[in-house]
Amino acid sequence: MFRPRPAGQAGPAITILSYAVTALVALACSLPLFYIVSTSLKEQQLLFTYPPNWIPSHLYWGNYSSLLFTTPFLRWVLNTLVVAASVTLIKVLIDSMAGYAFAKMKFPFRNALFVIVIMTMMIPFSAILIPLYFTIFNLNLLNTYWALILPPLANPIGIFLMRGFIEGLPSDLENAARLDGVSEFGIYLRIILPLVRPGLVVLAVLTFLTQYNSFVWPLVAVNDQSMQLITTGLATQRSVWQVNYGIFSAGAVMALVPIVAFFLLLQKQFVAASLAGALKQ
Amino acid sequence: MSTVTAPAKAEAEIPDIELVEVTKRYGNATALTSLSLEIEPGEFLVLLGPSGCGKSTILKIIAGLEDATEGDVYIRGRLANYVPPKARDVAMVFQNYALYPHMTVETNLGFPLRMRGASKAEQASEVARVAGLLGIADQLKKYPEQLSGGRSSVSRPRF
Repeated sequence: MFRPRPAGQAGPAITILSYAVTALVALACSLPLFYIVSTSLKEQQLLFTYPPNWIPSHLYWGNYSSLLFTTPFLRWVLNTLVVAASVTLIKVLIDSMAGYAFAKMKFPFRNALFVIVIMTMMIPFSAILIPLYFTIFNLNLLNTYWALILPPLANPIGIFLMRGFIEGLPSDLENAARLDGVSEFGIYLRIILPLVRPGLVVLAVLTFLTQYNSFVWPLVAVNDQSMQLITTGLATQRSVWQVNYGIFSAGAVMALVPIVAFFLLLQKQFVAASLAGALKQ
Repeated sequence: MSTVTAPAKAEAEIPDIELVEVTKRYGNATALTSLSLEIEPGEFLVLLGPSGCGKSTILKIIAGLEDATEGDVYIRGRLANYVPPKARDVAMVFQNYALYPHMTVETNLGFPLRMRGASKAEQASEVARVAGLLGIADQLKKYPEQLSGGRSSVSRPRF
């Protein structure tokens, strides 16, 4: 198990160097963010002054109010949260079940099936965009939540991930549970799931972020103004002749809030739960 | 496979556990070839042999975790080939203890009882009795990773 060493235990030169590098990286990561916040608080004619104004001389809230009051922005946020949360919940459930089956159960053609599942990862999304559109069209699901929720569920990366995590668990734990009288589903629920919690969190975060940022498919599957996601909704605010970067930046800043909250909520889970002590080797 | 058998106390007619011509193959590899074995009630049997000779395979076949490729397993005189592990009323201590890492010692001990539908009170009293017997009453709230090796091994008795 990797345990981070307290900084004090390394040599002083190393400590100073690592703090310096950390600070540099932090600065490089936060500058664009800061620039977005700054842009969102400027009037349009001040956006392209040179040299650029990092801190606007007076705070202009018009970008925020025009997004909030002239577009259904809050509805887009709601849509995004509903879709991303649904996809994440369903995916964590079915991918962990499929991963358990592929990792631990014995059934005919298991490896061949797994290879087929994994091979679907190699199909570029642009290749299935049009057939997928017609599938959803024929199911009469365009402009619904289902159009946005169902297709991402088929992405096999989660099955791959969960199989890896579950394969690492010692089979003696399941065997012990079998002797203890636990059903096959009970083993999945009571033994496997609690032990792969870090894996579940990784999958949940990955899925949620991917959904939160997804753009191409929602752009195709939905064209009602009230069914847009944050990403596609903001895109509708661009006219042919001009792009108001102030509006975009305000949207980006507001879109950050839920995702930062989500991350802070799950941050502890990243660090939690290890398998140390499960087995005496 | 060599076996060392304590003097049999042939009190009962029917052996507790009987293997008849049991063969186990994994793909092309043969783990057991036509093994027959009787274990009488109260008998203490030791299986000795180099690693990979099939000791664990025998235990798993008796417990029902593996199926015999050929041959029959009898438990208390009844054919057990198709009886699932939990219905065999057989206990097994795994080589590396296999404690549930996400449960305390107390929950680990009580888990099989809970799975068999014992009441909370029954679980608690049985766990307390066994913990007292094993001298680990002060360890009940700990998780497996907090235990020493010897104490891990006593945390997995089977009821």
